[in-house]
Amino acid sequence: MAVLTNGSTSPLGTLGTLSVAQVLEHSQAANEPAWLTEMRGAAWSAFQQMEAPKWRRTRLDELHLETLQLAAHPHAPELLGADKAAEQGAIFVPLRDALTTHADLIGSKMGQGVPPLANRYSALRAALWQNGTFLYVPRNVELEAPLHIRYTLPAGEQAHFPYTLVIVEANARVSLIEEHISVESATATLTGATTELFIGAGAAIRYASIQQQNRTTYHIGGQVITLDRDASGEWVSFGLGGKVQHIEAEARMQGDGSRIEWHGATFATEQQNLVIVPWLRHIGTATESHLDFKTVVADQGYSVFDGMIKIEHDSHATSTRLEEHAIHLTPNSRSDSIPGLMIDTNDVAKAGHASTSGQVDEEQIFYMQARGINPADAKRLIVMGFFETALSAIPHEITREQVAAHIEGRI
Amino acid sequence: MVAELNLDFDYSKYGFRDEENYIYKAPKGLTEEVVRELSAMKNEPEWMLQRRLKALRIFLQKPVPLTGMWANADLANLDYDQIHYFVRAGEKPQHDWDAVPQEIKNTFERLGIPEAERKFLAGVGAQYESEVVYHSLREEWQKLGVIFLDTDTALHEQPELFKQYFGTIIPAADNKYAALNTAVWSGGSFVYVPAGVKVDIPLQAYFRINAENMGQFERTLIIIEEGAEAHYIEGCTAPVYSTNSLHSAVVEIVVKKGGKFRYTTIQNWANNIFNLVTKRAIAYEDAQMEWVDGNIGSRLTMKYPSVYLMGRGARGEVLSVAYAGRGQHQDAGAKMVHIAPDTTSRITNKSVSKDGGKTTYRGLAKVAPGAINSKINVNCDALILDEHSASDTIPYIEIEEEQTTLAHEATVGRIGEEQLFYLTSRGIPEADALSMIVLGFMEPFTRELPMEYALELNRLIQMEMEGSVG
Repeated sequence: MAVLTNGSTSPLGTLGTLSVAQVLEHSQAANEPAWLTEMRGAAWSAFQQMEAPKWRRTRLDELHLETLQLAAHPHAPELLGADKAAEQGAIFVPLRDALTTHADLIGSKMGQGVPPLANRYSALRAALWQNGTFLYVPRNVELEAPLHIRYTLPAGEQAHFPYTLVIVEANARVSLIEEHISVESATATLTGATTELFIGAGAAIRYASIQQQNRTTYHIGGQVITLDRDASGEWVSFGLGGKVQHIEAEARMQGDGSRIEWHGATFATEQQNLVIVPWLRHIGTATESHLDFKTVVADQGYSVFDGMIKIEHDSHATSTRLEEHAIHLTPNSRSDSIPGLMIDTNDVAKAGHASTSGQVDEEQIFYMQARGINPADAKRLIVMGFFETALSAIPHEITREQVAAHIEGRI
Repeated sequence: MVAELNLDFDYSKYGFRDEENYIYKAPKGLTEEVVRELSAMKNEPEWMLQRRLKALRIFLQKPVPLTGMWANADLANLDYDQIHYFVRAGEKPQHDWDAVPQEIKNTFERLGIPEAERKFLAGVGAQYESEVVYHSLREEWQKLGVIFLDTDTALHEQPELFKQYFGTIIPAADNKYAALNTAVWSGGSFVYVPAGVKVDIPLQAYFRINAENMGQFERTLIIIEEGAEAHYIEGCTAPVYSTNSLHSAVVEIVVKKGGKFRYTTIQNWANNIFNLVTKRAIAYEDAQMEWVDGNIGSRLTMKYPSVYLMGRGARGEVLSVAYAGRGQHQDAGAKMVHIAPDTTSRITNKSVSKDGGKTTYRGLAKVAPGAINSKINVNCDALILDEHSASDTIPYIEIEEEQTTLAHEATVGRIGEEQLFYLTSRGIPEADALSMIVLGFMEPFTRELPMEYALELNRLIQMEMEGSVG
């Protein structure tokens, strides 16, 4: 019975047959702390009772959760840069390992960013995560080299729920890349990724989330960055792969003076349905945010940008702007954009959003043709230029070049 | 001309109520019996009764819409069993003002309707409770074949036209409130403008709810033939009672090739009225449809006037303002659906919230496959005047065609301290300065109204703004 631990071989059954008792039993067998066992049990029982969320723009009708099987031998993620981080006193290890050494620290934060019971999928992830990553950066530590997490759903496995928990203490600095890949599969596979980043007072993070999974994979994720006083984040989100993506992401400006600069790129081609739900939540005083997402759709690709600026009643002097721009490369593609504003106070310095949608500018193509560039290359150059601000926000050159090459190859 | 049009409205008297003295008042609650009786009293053809009964079944089946486009928790507070679905105040609609019953006449005279008609309107309809009490169209327009009737009369006098269009633009199953209206509709305006006729002064309808617990469900059907033009204005008021009332209208409009139509609403319902309205227009080739929509009153308004751009070159526009004060939620917006190529639309929304009021802009901009060269422009600006008030903006944008140009822009803010300081330093009292800034903010809307309506709206907002500075 090895749902939650490495090493055991007993078959697990499918999600449809898994009981709360089994979930509790597995957690206890893995010697997990009591709070975690309890959290898993509550989440699994919620999962069994909850109805599926009404995401009417996300095509989940062909995803049959109850038939999915959990990996018997969940893989630890590839963690690049752990040694250098350790030299400076940071901890960058698989989450399961950290559970034996830093259970209390993990327990103090887990679920504080992404609420386990927010919906059926967050409950599923909270109940059944098997491994993930723990990153802890102590006060005043500034890590030069970017850290890199690579989660792979390997051949022959149907579902995994990697959990990333990041705690950056006051005045520390770190760059982190979280990448999701999977291999082709005969049947649908599921990645349910949870990421919680807690950024302490005056600390700074550069964070890149890159989803480039296989066309048979469903990716249903939850990501929250919580920023303490004067903390700052630079976030870039790439939605490139998968059959269907639904990521609920949030930058939470909790502390006074905290700020986020958030870029994103979504590229939906073939039959892909890529949904991103980014929220800017302003809670503290004099917090700032800027979100700029770029979307390109082609073939039968269907992208959804369901963004929100939420300014809470007790916040003061918020300054925020959200932008989304979409380009259609072919007639049959579809892009939806819902740039929302929910403002519960009049003490706002600046709040606004803009959204545009169109095709590649014919004039630009003409201009480039006049300079000897053929129309196909011209289109490629224009799209790459469109994604440039997102690409340049990836805090690691080699990764940046790989992502750029991947996009360029698909245009 | 301007001086002559200075109607001396007494705004403090909007809240008056008349004695209730009705020929017929249906019992509270909605049953098949109520619908059958209503239809029988109106001596309706069988097909209309069947239409009503079918709609009633749809209404009863559909749950209160608490998610998606209609998400609003306050809808759950509406008690359908406490409403009178039909109240008959007088006999048949009169064409001679002197023949209108005195009490009703007093009401509309206090609101300035007959005077307005004499001065600048092509025709007037006035609806009191469920039925239209007065209807007239100037002879010059009648001669050109223009039809302006109350909808009940039109059902009898224009059966062919009526049957051809009724319910084709907004079917009963569209939403719960459209179903309710189809089941119990009464009154409203029927307008037909023949090809090439340009009615260059406005037609007007005035709606008044007087009885407590009264539901008003007027049904308006407007057909603008090829190359024809018209402008229709409606105003709404009601006295304040301690219990909630419901206004749920359906407005269907067809604008044919090259036609032009503008529909202007100044909604000033009392703040215990649920105002749940479905308004939709279809614009064919090169036609132009404009909704000018002002929402000042009601407890909860949910209204998203829409234009379906069905013919090449059609244009749609929604220009709206919303003002939400204490206990009010203005949940309004617009929908533009581009189905044909070379179509253009524009949405401009201005909203102001104050004293705990809330404004929501909800909109849809959709480009269907094949609607190439569509152009859409959306602008939403919200002003929040104090810390107790709130504003949401929820625009849905769905683009299924490559050759499209869409731009959406929204801002939310407070009144600039600098603006306020500038005005007060010039000796303008703060309250006046505040009200000047709000009126300036709404100016793109008010400048589209006929003079008397612009004045009325400005004065209504000034009244709302009184005492707004503590």
